[in-house]
Amino acid sequence: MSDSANQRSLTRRGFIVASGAGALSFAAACSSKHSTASGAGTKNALGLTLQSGAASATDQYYVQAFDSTGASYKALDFYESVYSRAPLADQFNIPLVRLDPNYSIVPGAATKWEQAADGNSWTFHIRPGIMWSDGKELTAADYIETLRYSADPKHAWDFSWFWSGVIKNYTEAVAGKVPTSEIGVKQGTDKYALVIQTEGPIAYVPSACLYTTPLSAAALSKYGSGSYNINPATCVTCGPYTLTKFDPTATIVLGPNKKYSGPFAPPIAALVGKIYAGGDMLPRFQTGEIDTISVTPLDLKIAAKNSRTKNLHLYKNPNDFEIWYTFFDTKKAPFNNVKVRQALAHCVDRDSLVKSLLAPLATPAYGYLTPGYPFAVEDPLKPLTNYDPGKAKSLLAAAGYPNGKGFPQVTFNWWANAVSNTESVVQALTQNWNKQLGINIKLQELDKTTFYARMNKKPTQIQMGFVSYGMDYFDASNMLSVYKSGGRHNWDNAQYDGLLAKGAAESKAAQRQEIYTEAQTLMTDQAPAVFVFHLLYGYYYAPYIKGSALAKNKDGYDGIQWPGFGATSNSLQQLYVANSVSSWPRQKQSGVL
Amino acid sequence: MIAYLAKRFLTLLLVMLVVTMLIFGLMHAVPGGPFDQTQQPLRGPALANITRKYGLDQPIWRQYLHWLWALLHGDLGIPFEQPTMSVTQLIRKAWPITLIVGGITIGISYVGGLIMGCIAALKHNTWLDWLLTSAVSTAGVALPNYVVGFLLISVFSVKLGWLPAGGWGQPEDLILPVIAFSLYPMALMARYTRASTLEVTYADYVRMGRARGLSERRITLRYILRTALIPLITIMGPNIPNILTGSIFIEATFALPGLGSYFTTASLHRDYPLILALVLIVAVLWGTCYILSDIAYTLVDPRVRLEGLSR
Repeated sequence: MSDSANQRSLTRRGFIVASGAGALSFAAACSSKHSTASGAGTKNALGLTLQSGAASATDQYYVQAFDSTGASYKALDFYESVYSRAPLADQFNIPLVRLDPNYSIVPGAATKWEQAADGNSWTFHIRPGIMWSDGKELTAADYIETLRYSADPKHAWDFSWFWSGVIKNYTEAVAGKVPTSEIGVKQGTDKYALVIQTEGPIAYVPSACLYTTPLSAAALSKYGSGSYNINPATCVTCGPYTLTKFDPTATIVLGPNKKYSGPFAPPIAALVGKIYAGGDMLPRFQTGEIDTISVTPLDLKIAAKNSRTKNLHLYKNPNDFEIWYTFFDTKKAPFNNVKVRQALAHCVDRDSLVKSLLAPLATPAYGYLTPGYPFAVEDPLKPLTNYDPGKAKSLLAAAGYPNGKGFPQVTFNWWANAVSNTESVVQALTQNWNKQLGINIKLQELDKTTFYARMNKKPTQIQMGFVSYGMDYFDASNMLSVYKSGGRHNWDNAQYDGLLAKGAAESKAAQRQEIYTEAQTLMTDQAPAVFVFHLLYGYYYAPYIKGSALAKNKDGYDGIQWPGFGATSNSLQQLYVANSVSSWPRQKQSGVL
Repeated sequence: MIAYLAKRFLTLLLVMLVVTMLIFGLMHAVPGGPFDQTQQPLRGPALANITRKYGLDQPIWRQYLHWLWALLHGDLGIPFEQPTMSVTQLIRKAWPITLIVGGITIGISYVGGLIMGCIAALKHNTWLDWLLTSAVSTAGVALPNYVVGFLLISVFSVKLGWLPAGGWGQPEDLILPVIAFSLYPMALMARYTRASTLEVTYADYVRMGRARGLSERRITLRYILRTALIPLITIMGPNIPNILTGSIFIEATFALPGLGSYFTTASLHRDYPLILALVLIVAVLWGTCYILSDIAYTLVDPRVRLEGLSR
């Protein structure tokens, strides 16, 4: 009995001791886990002291996923190829200017810039002491040689339109009429002063200079092209990263540039681009393979049912301010009649359409420019495009088609885009037009390449089509120029062209706003297009991805804003991996840091 | 046999020549070109520069002859999609991945399908037959492989966390794609094996064998299966090129950097050199597989003789 009692007592004691030891070990294990993951106060691979709450320096890498379907990757530099740039491009340099999350132009390599008194040139002052990894200093010569290379007919740069009509003699150089040395890009008073001479007074040059991501003049001269940057052995960088691995079918890894001497050292010291030939990205995010994903409406539904992702915050922003719209060939009947176009514009229930088919990743489009984009207006345009079937019928009757009688059969071309749910959208639009107006619009799907080939033919081979446009640079002159006479679509309007020219030359913001409001009103009223929706991009970030780069901006958009995580944005300095990384099944990337 | 093979391979060469001419003409006939842009189309001088750079400013017949001449010298050109490597290098890089996945798929699905079909036939009208024929093989034929792929990812990657959701580089990356890719050919093989085995099981010569007291094992292996294999050659042959050139869906679902995706992207990009190279691969594989199928018939069935060898 006593033995038994003694045994029980020992067992109880043993249990208490064991429990205590277990609890202590658990606490120790937990604390050791956190202490292992914490990197606050230590330096990352770029020599930057990590902030409070940051994970260890070896965790400071960022894994992004890229879908290579329909993409070609042959360069890592804007001036080598724009449309065939690989993921993680443009990280080996510092552009003259950058964008902050509120879309304001902030200093990059240039600390200041000014327009000449006659308005015909801009001077950018480059900060001294930024070194390339080959030991040479970043100077105006790098920007000059890069821009000359872009105009070289032998290079056949795929984005040469960008500087045509902006930089003096650029168009002539691309056409081979003048040597590239004669384009309006010169050194100023010293090697740090870059002068850009323009074709006339152009106010938006600083905005366009976001895309002055230079190649190294020395490397360009040595290798003859910008392709040296896709080989880790020949990569020359003045940005915080250097090329570690370039396999455009699977992985691209940018490691820390240990020789980095620029002013923008980021907490994240390495970037990993996982390239997938299509497929579903959500499981890759859920299993910790990647740190962030851009989600589709379908992903949102699936994520809501998963215990790991259902409580994640959905970040939303317009990224490149893409609008989807229906365009017309306004030179041919029936769309040469403005009343027909206006009738169709008033016969789109944008709010319902967005709510039922696209929410929360779109907003109704009453104007061409997305709210938040420079000089965008919305309210003054609503009466011109609001949903009013009665008014639409009256307009159609006034155009000579009462109740749709006599309206010819029209073909409405489109191409499938899953992110924008184009199939459902064009069906909803067509059904409503045909039903409400008694007309006969027939849908015809084309493959993307055929669609654009036919649309871009002069004159266009598409009578009516559904298409999108995302900005190239952050100024109204860019998006609005899409509808310039002789531009993307078959609509000519001298008054509109005049307003665009006036707006581009005007340097005062208030006056520019007035001019661009007038241009937007004119365009909306003349309805060369029916605006349907502005696309919003949705993002999930793993809970350990933190930083002010994700916070809401002045327009209420959050997540990493356009132009994304890179040298052209100051988000680079505002994102880090937090020590909560251990709470997520993040897959360790070996050999990255 | 040599004369027969030489004749067949010469015919194959002729077929390939005609196929490449047709494809060359067709791909230039469809609207759009490799350097058409979606946002801002290249303007006059820029477009002229880029088309000149790739020789696309030449007449189409000259472009074809130039391509053919280069081909005869072992040069398949530079893909517009990835001009940093040649078409040959691109194929050398991507195809082995497809071949590994396809090879394992062929092994598993053909052997598995054969075994399943035999068991179902030998145990026909039993619960085992029902399970293998109705459940497994019907599901394998009816379910598209990308649906199977998503199901496998949901269960084994997301829920259980046992296997990667996709990618390439480690042995475990192969498991889910191969399972998803194998189901259809395995089901197909099982169904055909069952049908042909059942047909033979009641043949007179099999009954005769039983009447003579031969063992069931001997009857099954030597009398039933050997004869049942003949129609399977018809099924197996054409399936091999399909599997060895990759499944667009499987490679996309599991993010395999194989050859499959290039079949669509090359067409979408109007990547002429790559399209031609892929067409050549498919044509050669199909032609070769048909020739090998013909030879296999003669080996399995002595009654079959190749043309020119029967007398």
